Amino acid sequence: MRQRHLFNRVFSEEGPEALRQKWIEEVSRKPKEAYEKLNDPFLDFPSLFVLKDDVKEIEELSIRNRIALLHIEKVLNLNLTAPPILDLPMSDLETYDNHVQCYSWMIESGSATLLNNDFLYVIDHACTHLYHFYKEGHMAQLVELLFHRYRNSAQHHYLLQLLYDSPQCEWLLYVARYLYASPKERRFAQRILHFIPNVRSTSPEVAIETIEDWYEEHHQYLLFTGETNDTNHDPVPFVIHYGAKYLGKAIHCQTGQYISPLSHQEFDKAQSFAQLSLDVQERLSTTSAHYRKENRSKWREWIKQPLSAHLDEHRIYRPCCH
Amino acid sequence: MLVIQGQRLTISQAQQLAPALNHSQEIISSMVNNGEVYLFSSELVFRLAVTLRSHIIDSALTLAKSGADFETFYRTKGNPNYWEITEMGGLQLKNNTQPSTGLQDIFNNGSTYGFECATAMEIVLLHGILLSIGEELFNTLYAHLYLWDWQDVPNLPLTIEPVQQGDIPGDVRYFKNPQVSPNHMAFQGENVIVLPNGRYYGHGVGIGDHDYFVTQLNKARRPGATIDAYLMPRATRIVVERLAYLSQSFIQIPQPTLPV
Repeated sequence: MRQRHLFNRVFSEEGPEALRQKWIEEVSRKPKEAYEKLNDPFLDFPSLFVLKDDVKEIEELSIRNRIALLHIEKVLNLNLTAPPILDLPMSDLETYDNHVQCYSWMIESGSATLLNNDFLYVIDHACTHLYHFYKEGHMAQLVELLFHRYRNSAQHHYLLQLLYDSPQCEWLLYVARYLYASPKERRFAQRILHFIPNVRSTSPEVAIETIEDWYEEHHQYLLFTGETNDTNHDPVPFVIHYGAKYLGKAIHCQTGQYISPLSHQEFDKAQSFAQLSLDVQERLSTTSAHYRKENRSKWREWIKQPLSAHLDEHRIYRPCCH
Repeated sequence: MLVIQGQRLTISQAQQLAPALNHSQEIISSMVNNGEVYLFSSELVFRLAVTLRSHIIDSALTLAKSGADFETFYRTKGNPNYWEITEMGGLQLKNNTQPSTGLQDIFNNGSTYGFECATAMEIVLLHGILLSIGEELFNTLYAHLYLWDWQDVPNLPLTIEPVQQGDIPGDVRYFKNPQVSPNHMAFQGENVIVLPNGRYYGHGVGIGDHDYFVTQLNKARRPGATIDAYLMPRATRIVVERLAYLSQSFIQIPQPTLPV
C-alpha cells in the first residue's frame, strides 16, 4: 500500500524536488484531497520530511504528522528546550502512545532512505527517543538500520552508540547474525563483538556457535559497563561478573546486585571471592559453571564447600580465604 | 610506581632521565606515587612517554584556546583549504596537504572548525605526537590522515587500561552522563584529557576539575534524575612502545637535562 501512495511514489521514482512540485500542484488543484493524502497512514516519513517547509503551517495535520514535524523542528533548529506545542486534548498515556507510534513510523518507513545528513540526524534522534527513552523499539530493527548505514558508508556513529548503550544484552545476538553477511559487514560485526572470545578467528558458523554458547553461559552474569564507541576505540559493553557465575546467581545487569537473596554463607563467600585476582575468579567460576552444567545435584554439594577447598582443588594458595 | 628495565625509580632518578618539558614533573610524580606499576622496557621509551604526555597536555591547552567549536558528526566543519568533510562527518585530509600542516591549522584557525569530542581527542593525541616526533616523521606516518570517531587512525596505537589508583596527566578519560535529557544529547558524555593538578580538558565544555565536569553534565540531565554523571574507570593511552617502533627514530626527542 505504501508504494501506491502518490507522494511516496513520486519521491522514490523522481526525487524530492519532483515531490515538492507535485505537492504544490495537488494543493492548488484540490487542497482537501491533498491534505487527505498527507494524513494518509500509508504516507512514508521521507515524503513528509521533504514537504516539511510547505506543510508545517497547515492546521488539518494528523497528530502523527504534527509530532513528526515538531520533532524535525526541535532536532534541526536545535530548539530543544521548546515545550511541545501539540495543543490537543489527550491524556498522558495517549500522548505517550502517539509519540511511540510516531517514532516507530518514522524509523520503519524512513530507515532505508539516506536523503541527507539532516534527515539522518532526525531519524537517529527518533531512534534515541524510541529505544533509549521510551524503551519501546525492537533491537533487531536498530541493528538492521545500523548495518544498512554501515553498508552504505553513511553516518552510523550515534546508532552504534545507542546500541552499545542498551543494557539488554540480546542485541549481541542480533549483531551476530551479520557474521553470515558480506566480508565488510562481517568485519564490522566482529569488531562490535570483539570482547567475546574467538569471534574473530573462526568461520561464521563456528563464530556464531561460540557467541551462542558464550551468551547461554553468561547472559545472567553480565554486567553492563556503559562503554560505547564514544568512550574509546574498543568498547567492552558487558563484563562477566565472576562472583555471580561462581555462585550461579543471576545479577541485575546495571546495578550488579544479586536478584535473588544470598544466604549468609553465600554472602561471605561472595565477599571473599571478590578479594581474589581476576584470573583466579575466572578459573573458579568456569569450574563452577562446568560442574553446574554437568550435574546440578553434585554441583550443589560442591558449591557448599568452603572457598578454600575450591582454591585447593585448583592448587591456588591464599591465606585469607575460608 | 615507575619501573624501567626492572629497576624501581624515585622521582629524582626519573627526573634525571626525563626531558625537562612543561609538565614532566607532574607526569613523573603521578607515575612514581601511583599504586599501579608503570613499566618501561628502556630509558628511551620512558623519555618518549614523558615527552608525549607533556606535549599532549600542551596540545589540549592550545586546542582549548583555539576557538574550535563543538559540533555533532552531522555538522562537522573544517577549513576547506586542507580538509574535506565526509558523509560520516569525518575530516579527510586533502591530497595536496601535508598532515602536519592540516593538523596545525586546526590549532591556528580554530574558528573555522567544529567537531565532536572524540574527534578532539584524536586531534590532541596526534598533535602531541607531532610535537614529539617532528614534522618529517609525522608526515610519513600519517600520510592519509582521517579524523572521525575513535576508529580508523592507522599508526595511532591505543590501549585501554583500568584506572584504579588515579590517572596520569596525558591520559584520555570519559565522563558519562547516564540520565541525560533527550533535549541535550550532546551532553550524554564527554571525552577529556587529564591535565596536571586534578584538572581535565573537554572539547566544548572547557577546563575544570572533576566536580566541574560532573556539574556541567548534571545540568543536562532529565527531570528527576538520580544518578550523577561520573568518570568511567578506564583510560585510553598511546602504546608508546609501539609508537617508538613505528617511529624508529628518537632524533627529535629532547635529551634529559643533567644536573650541573
